[in-house]
Amino acid sequence: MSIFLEFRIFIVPLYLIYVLLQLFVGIYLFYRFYKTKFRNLIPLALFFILTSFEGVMSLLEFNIIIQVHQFIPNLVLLFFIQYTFYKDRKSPFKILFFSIIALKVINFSIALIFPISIPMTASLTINQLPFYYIYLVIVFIIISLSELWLAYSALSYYFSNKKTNLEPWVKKRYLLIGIAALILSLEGVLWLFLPPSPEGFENPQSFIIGFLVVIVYTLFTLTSLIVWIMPKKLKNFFNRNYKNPHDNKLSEEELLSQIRLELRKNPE
Amino acid sequence: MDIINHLGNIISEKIEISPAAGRGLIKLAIKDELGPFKSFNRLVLEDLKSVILNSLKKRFIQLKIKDPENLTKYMIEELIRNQSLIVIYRT
Repeated sequence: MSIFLEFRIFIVPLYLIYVLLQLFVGIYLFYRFYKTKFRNLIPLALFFILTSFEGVMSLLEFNIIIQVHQFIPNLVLLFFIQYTFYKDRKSPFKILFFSIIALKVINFSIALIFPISIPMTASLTINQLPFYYIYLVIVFIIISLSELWLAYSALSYYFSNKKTNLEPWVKKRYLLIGIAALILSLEGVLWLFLPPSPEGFENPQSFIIGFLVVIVYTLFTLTSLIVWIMPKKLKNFFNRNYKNPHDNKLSEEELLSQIRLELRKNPE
Repeated sequence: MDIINHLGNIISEKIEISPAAGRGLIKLAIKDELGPFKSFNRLVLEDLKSVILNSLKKRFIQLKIKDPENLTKYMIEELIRNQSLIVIYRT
């Protein structure tokens, strides 16, 4: 048995785990939307479900469907970030949204004119090679724009609230969202090293890139699982040194007298 | 709930009252604005905005807190800055 075949036996189940876990997280987020009525969760749930669908299409080698649909998860992720972090705030949402669409149109046009795909299945002439690299750079940018924006939003909130009295498990959730987004953004970096070999993943370098991408996917989906379906035991573990504020039950009058008293003690 | 505690803590720092009193004040304002039956876990950004702009501001005025206009504005800015907590905490 060749080393590639042995690896394939390892990669396909790993990829299947990724596809199933993405679907599971997506369905769970839809359930949370149903429970909480937070509409922000719809695009996030769609992101996970669409990437899972993309995974199934890729396993079935429906490359044309993947070509058309590939950027949609990145677009829906932008909606989640905008409506969760930046409502009524300045944000690059519109710029990123239209940039991704424009870049996708360029990439789709390149793929229509030249036989370019990930992985490659046809040979390119020397004159066509620059388009191949433009195609990869655009894939890298499309993936990076949404993932890095999510990573920036979550991590900047985490670092600016590191010393506040927020519950530690909530802080950890922000940190892990940022880390998961950074992990997934590595996908775009890896594709930059994909050689234009018509052998597809049979080519040793392409195979290694494909293998690393599956590892990135698996790490991302496992981190996402912990982030969005965090077990109570893990929350308690993160909160182990945290003392929940206990407020005495006071009537409105008692509370207002207390506040007046405190205001008199500390006049502004 | 965490966004409410967080806003309560911000009030306590701004007007120099205890954190418990700050949290109590924001909870009181929520009840004034949205009634006693609205669950704190169901509040969305728009609910909290109207709480701050209307009933919390009224409470600041009743308590004779200095510059309620600016304090309300500051609270809105803090709410917008921390808006992600509403979803991230309750998902």
